[in-house]
Amino acid sequence: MLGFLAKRIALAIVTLFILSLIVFFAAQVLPGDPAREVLGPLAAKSAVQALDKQLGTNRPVIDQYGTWLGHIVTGNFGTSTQYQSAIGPILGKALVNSLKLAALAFVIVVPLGILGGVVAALRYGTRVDRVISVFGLSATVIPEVVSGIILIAVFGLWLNILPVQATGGSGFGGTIYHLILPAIPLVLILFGYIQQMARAGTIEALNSDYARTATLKGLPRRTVIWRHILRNSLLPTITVIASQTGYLIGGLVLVEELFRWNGIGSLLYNAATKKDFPMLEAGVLVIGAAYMIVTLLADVLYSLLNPRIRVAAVE
Amino acid sequence: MSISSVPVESSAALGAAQGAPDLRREFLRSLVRQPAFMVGSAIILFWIISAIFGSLFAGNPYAQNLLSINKGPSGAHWFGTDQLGRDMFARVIVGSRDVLIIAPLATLLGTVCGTILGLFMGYLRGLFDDVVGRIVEAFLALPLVVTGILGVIALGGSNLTLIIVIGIVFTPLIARTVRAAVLGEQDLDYVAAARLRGESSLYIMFAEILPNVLAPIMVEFTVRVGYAVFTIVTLSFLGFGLQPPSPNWGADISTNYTLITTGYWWESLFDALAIATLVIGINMFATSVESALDAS
Repeated sequence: MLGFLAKRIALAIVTLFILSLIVFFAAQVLPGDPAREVLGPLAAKSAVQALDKQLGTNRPVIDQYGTWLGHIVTGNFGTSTQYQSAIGPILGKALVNSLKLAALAFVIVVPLGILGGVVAALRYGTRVDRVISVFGLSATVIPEVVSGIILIAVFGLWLNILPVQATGGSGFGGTIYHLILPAIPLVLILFGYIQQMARAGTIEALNSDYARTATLKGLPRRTVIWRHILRNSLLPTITVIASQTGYLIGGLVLVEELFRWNGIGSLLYNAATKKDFPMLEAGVLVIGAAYMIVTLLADVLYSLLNPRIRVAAVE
Repeated sequence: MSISSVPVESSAALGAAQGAPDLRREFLRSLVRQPAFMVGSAIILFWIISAIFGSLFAGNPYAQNLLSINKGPSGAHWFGTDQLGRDMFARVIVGSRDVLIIAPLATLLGTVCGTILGLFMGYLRGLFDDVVGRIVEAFLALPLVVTGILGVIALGGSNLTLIIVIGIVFTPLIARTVRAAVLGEQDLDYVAAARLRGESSLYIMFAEILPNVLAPIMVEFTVRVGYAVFTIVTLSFLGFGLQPPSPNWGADISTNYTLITTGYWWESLFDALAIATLVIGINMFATSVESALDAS
């Protein structure tokens, strides 16, 4: 187990390192002169050179990358060019906000998705199965912009029962009340993935030898389902939930912009449009790291729940 | 069990012996038998016709009429008018053009690059696979939209940028699928036979293995076109795609959506519904291609 964990962590660090290279070169090298981008085409040449010096962009690229990486590793994310203050606290606040929205989406979608998958599998091939599965698949491909617009029109305008601005809620209940509408587009997309995975896992478990044995030895159907089938069918679901974290953050960019919520998504978007490269680099790297950590946790959880993987890893 | 499986097996063997045309006919037959395929194709066809001939039957999407701005849906303007008095019906219909040009081209780019990369990764394995595999992992750790934003920043916003960016984003995704398919083929007899004949690695990859992994590549392509539409809409909503005044679903929603709560819902809702029909149509098409391939 420890060997398995060490290997996975080492791989994650290598991947993060490559990610840092990609991010750095995309944001720092390709757009040409960052200082010119920040100050605009009309700025005096001396001002551009001064900012270049301040940003360090007049030095060799490898040198810049080394300094940047060294700072990031020690927890110094640099200074945002649009806010003129340290990136760390701004990023932290945005992360907490995004986490609230993401948590609400997960709290809604995980039980719904698993329920949808298990019900579809138990009614395999019937109309119930088809309706749930077709709905899930369709919901997965519809962009958040589209579902968001429809939700705003229906709940914000015609029924007028939910607030369309995510900010403005105070206290625990108020925040949740304001976050319900923004969470639904995320829920719709995630529902399909989780439901499909839970359905496939449950069908496989239903057809397995151990399920047949349990039924044949006279256990009631309810016990077979709860004790033998669900436990095995939910394993792949954990992986898919973790792997959707990457998507979730992308979805946040859009939803936060659409519903005006100050999270990591809108932070990235603003950094991109305002050419705030230090902020953009830090944000993208944090997202990559978050994804890596969640995937790692899912793998560990998966192997803890599934002795077969654990044994294979030791061997 | 074993008795019933014999005729099935022999007929499959027969089909293989008679060659590809038979399989293709079987594939097409199971395709048209699915209602999802017919509905999906009809929707896609509708939008293709709109993209090409839209301005002929829907009118001019650019014509402003400042005397009738923000008018609701009526007989004269089926989908109402926007803040500049432009006909929303014309804008929604003609707005399909960009999406329908960018999505297939971007997906094609990603599929070609991803297939080549996946073939090399799966066939060569070893160090090449490890190194490229890490880079692919790094790309996949980023959400599509974030990679898209990075790409648009690096290359500047235009239709060509969208094609390149989405192509780049899809490459690792498709490479992963192709790699897995190639790994499954690798140990089969025909690959060993080709090796023993002394064929070059390139010949084995592209002439022997590639035709056998075309099915998953085709499925991947059709599914990805849907995601390409998804990404185009998202990036153009965020302002990274085509610039106004061109009719564009994502950009139009971005300009008009804040007006929904003031009552002008038609200025963005019809764009949203248009996108929804297109992605659902593509999705129906893709899933029926997938199940027809499974069946034949």
